[in-house]
Amino acid sequence: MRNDVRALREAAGYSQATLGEHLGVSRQTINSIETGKYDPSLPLAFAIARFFTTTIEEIFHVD
Amino acid sequence: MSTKPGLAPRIGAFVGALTALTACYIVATVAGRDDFARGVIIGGGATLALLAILWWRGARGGTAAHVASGLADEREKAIARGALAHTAVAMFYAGVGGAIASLWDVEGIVVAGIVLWVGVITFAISFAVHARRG
Repeated sequence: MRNDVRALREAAGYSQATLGEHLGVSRQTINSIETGKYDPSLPLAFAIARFFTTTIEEIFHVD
Repeated sequence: MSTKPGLAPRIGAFVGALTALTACYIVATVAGRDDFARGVIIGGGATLALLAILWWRGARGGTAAHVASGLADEREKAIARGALAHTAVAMFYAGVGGAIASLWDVEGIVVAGIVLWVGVITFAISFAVHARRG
């Protein structure tokens, strides 16, 4: 699954560590999500969407 | 890293492990298995030292430190679960192999040791591979 987390994070000026702190996950997990190695759970996907004040559908795209 | 366990549970776990280690050493010594007792002290001591380092690293460390410290997030818990699942399967097969080996008079303590080592090595490799792949 592709996602726009990296683009959104960089546009907001956050580091992976800072975003991880806000979402309650590690920096490594943010990196894994951004590189597509890990698909987040539904609650975490919602948390990411809420953090960037958008929807899950606008961030995560099925290949 | 949504939860932050206090120091007390960690100290409790450490003291519990130390007590179990000491008990194993005493039982092995009383049974006259000095080599086994030495192995318990060396292996158990090394494991406790590794745990202490991982706890000390805590949130600043990598995936292993997060898991050992109880600070793992959902991805890290999934990594640990996957590694434990592989460990269970590997130890099952090692147990079956050990049971067959016992038909050729292999000592029980040797079989138990092999099963334990298969578990430890499988967990370490599987955890590292899972963590690397994301």
